[in-house]
Amino acid sequence: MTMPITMPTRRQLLAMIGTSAGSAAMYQAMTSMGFAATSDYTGKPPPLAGARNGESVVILGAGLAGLTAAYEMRQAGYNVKVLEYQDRGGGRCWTIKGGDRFTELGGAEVTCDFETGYLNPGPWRLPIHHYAVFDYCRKLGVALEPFIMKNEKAYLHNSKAFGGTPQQIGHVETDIRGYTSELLAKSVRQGALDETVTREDQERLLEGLRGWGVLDKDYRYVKSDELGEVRGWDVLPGGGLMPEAEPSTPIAMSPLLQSGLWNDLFTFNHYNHHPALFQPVGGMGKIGDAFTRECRDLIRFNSQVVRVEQGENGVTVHYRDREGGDDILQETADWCICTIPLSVLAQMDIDVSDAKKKAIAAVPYASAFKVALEFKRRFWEEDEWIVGGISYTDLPIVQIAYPSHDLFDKGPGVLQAAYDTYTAEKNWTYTFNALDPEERIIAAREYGRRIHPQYDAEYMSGTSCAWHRVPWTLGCYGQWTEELRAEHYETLCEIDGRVVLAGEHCSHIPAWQEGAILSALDTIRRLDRRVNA
Amino acid sequence: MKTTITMLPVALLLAGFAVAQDARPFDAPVDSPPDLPTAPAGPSPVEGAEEVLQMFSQQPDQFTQTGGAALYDTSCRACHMGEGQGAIGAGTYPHLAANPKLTSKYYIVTVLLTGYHGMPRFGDQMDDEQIAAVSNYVRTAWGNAYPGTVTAEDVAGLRGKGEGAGD
Ligand SMILES: Cc1cc2nc3c(=O)[nH]c(=O)nc-3n(C[C@H](O)[C@H](O)[C@H](O)COP(=O)(O)OP(=O)(O)OC[C@H]3O[C@@H](n4cnc5c(N)ncnc54)[C@H](O)[C@@H]3O)c2cc1C
Repeated sequence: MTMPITMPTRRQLLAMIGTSAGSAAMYQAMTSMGFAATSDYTGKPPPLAGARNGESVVILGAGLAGLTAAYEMRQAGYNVKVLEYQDRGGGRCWTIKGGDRFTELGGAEVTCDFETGYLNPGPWRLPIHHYAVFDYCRKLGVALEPFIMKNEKAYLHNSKAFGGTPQQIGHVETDIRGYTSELLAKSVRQGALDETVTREDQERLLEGLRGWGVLDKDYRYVKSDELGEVRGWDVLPGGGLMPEAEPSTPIAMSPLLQSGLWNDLFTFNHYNHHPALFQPVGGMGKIGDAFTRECRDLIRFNSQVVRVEQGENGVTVHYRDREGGDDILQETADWCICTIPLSVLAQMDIDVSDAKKKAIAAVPYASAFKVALEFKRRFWEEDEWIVGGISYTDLPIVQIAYPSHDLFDKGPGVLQAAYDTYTAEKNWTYTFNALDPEERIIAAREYGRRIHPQYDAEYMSGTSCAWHRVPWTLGCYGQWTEELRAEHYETLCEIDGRVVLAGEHCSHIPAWQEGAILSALDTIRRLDRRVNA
Repeated sequence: MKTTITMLPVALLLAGFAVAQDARPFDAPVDSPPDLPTAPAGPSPVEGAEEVLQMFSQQPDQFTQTGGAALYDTSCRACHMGEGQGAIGAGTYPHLAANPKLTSKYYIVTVLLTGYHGMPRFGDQMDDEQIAAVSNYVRTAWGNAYPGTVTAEDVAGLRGKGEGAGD
């Protein structure tokens, strides 16, 4: 394993994006910077020749990758069996609701006593170009609703700027656009760009900047009624004899630049964050539930795979029934699709080439955590008119996400009060994973009250997920680097005798469900071809 | 306005909301630049907050803790647990208490610097002194008594060698 100390420029750039724009921004950057190949998903699952001789396939893991493969291969006539460690299907596609309990690694019990709402501990939003996810939602009858990613009224918060007062996203964005327009206009008018921009283009540019940045006749970005229409008002236009409207005042340029809040806007530029995004009604777990419903008769739950053996004529999977003692049971099949996360698979006895074993062992698993808190009322809506969206902060909670569902309800509401993944390279993700469940809630409350002081009076209960303590993933997702991918990715995905891997780790969309599904679709296409070769 | 609000955050915020609502029913009160208090005055009602917050590094990109125990508790503990006992699920996290692999002081340093299997590396987040401190902690805590001491020079020597501990 080679880990060069001086990183190539692309990696540095990614790290920068990570620190300033957050983890999710990183995923997208990784995709757009060429870690990704274009998917050739056509809107339909690949046509499979099918199991002409009644071939059988054993699938390891009932996450979205495993169940996509199971669903499609059964349709193509294969004899399918799925072995799953947990007593539920869906894998990381999961929702925690009131009444749920689970034991994390280390033995602590995570409880959830929410009266309303839920926590999606892993996946929570779906960008529209994740076509395969949407196609399966359609096919399996999973109802979707909008997920509000960007809300101009939500906050950007730097605890060391503006006395710790959060700033509205819309204000930061309008002001930065205004000031950069003003500065560019100034450069043009001072002739600084005479060598690079023609006279005619300069005129067009100035005209455009005036509108785009909302500049006055002297190309200055200043408070005006016109700006009020764009940036908002101190006193909103009213009716009858209500007070006269009063436009809001821009934040001064220097403190705005110094605050660094501008950098946080980048997260909204990412393709994966473009509106409209969606979420399943009732929680992301509904997708996993739907797949599980379709494939229920194929799945053997509570089955911990411990060894994958292959020979010329077939595969024997050794597993333990988690409720049935230490006896090792066996499942044989002609072929095997293994979707077990690499973090677990790296420790397992599996008959594949040395190169593939190296690939399996090469990928570190990123840390991630979420904390959700329930409050007696939706104060973010009632007091601050923040209806959906996400606030970003430099505190270790990194972000506070406001629910996009049950909007304007009177009763209690649940905030996703802390979330980050190590993709953003902030060490606090480790710390949140190192805390016990109650301590995570304490941290989320203590940091969060600095942005929303209403926390103190309205708090009811909390829950969390520390992904390094999840017994069946040992982390959040496979954290590929450019170097690792160049060295191992193809080997990892290739069919090895009668065994092939699939899952988000076998995709160019790490940490997105689309990656898990596209990986499964591509894998079954290649396997079916091999079977019928 | 700002000072008063800082003193009585919630009450005033809510009061402010009610007034605005009476006067102008369609006015969103925070449409103006928010004057929200950020560090509510008075003691935090969140019990145990002080100790928990001390667990966090002061910087996101570099651990600021220096002692081995503190570094362990803010990072390694996530997987290897409070008593170095590790954990067993679908896969396992190795126990560090009574783990003969720690006999070689270079082994743990290399694992920390480069990562191993699913374990991410910590070489970017900890400097040589910190890697040495946490290594020494792990080799002497929970009844461990592996001979020899890791020095920052040892770490510096291994750093950048680019050799994984792995197979
Ligand atoms: C914090 C976080 C945020 C995310 N955000 C998003 C998002 O917003 N949108 C999005 O689309 N995606 C998101 N993702 C990514 C998404 O969750 C994954 O890409 C996807 O769910 C992975 O599916 P999979 O089938 O590859 O793996 P999994 O769902 O992990 O399935 C693997 C299965 O294997 C089982 N297993 C493990 N070991 C064994 C064993 N020994 N024997 C038998 N079975 C075993 C596990 O129990 C599990 O069910 C996020 C993930 C995380 C963690």
